[in-house]
Amino acid sequence: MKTLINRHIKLFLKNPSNIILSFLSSLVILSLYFLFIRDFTIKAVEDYGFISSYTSLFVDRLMTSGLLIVIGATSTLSIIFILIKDCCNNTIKDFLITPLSKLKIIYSYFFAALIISTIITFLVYIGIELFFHIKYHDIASSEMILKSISIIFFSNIIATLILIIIALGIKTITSFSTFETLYGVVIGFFTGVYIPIGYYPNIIRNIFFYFPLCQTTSILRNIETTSITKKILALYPKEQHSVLYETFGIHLTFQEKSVTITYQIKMLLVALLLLNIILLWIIYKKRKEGKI
Amino acid sequence: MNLLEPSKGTVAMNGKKVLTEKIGFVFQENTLDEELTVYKNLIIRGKLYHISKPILQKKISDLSKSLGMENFLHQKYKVCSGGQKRIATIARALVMDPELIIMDEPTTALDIETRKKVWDFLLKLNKKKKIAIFFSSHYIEEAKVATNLCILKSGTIVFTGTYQELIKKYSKKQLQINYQNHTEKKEITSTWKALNYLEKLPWYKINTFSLTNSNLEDIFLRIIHENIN
Repeated sequence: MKTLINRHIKLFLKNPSNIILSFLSSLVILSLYFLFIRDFTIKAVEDYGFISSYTSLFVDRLMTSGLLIVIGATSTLSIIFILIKDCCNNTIKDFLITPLSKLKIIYSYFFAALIISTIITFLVYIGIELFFHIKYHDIASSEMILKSISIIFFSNIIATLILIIIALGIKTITSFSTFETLYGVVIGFFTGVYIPIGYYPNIIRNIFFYFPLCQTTSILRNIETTSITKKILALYPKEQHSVLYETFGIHLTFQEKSVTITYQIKMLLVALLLLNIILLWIIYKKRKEGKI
Repeated sequence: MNLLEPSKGTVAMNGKKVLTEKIGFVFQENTLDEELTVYKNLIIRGKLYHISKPILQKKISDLSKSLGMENFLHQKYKVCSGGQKRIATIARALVMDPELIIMDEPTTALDIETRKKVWDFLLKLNKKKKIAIFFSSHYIEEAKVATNLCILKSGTIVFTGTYQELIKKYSKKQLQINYQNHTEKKEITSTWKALNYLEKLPWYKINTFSLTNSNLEDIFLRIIHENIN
């Protein structure tokens, strides 16, 4: 399997546009945020009555955490594209005739995608932390860094699994290209990056609650903004705190009740298990049909 | 081969279960990675059979010499010509020292010289290393190299046997007489009968005549048509 993982990564690196576009897309998302969403979100926080010198730092931390989840989810697309291409060009047949099991072959794409997305996300994360240090002299504690890196990595695992499952249902390169375009746009809304999740109607919020990346975004936001929210909310009564947490997606609500991080992590573990079961079932079904 | 799930039964060769790692497969389409060199492609495929790099390097170097791949071994697969791509695909099937090679139209897109070179190499492998070769082909003349033939018509076997059996059963002599204004073709069973037939003809009207055996294409078409009828 190691050979195949290396092969996928090598193919990814052989195409310089893959690397450039991965970082460029991160840069585009960040630029779009600073140009269009940042001021709107700062104003929204202030409209709720939370006026503080920490508001812009809070909003930047809030939005960059969401963006990190989106970047992690979209940076796997190049490797998934290799999977689609291998299936369409019948290159995958060349691996199927080797002693390697079908499971290992499919999971090799998963691991390659995970490695690439992890490297890209971590590099962007370092860039973001440098930005906070330069602009706000805000240095993340080692505990915060460790927690953030863990949840980003976990989010990337889930995002990659979701994409592999979707990819196995796509039959042509053209269909995947269309899907890629849609995915990049939709994922931002699903995670509440473009519009704060509290602005969505209740029914939409309840649906998005089941989308695992919505949970990872919320947890990362919680980790990244804990110290700042404490400073902002110090001046406000306790009953007002939930407004800030829930409107801006730091705490998720389901059936109008706020859920705890422990509950969210349990949900993510169940999602991870379910996604693996679905993937195994798809591989088994496709094997029976002789499609892979 | 792991490509299809077996419905039942086992596949055995010489009474032993056939191991996947001992079967080389040449697909009809080119399945190597376009962005990588032929050498890198062979290294990756070889490693999937758990062959160590030094052994693989030696193996690839030997294959490169016997298949004449030296001039494109370190070239990207996508810039190789159609023939070079086929040779690289055949080399991929041989990289793990198979006992059996299954080839789906292996010489499609190859020029006559390269096709001959490939077959010479494969037949040498078959004789020297006792590697069994199972191949399908649309080039009927390639049937000559096979020890056993099987002709398929819409997925049904319409002939099985050796090349000699095929000739004996279906080959017929054909007498072609070119007159001044037209040509006559007649199937005939022996040279003696052909001469007898010619004797009765007005010889001054005949320009030329020839007596030939049916070629493989004629035989193939006859088998197919017989089967339809």
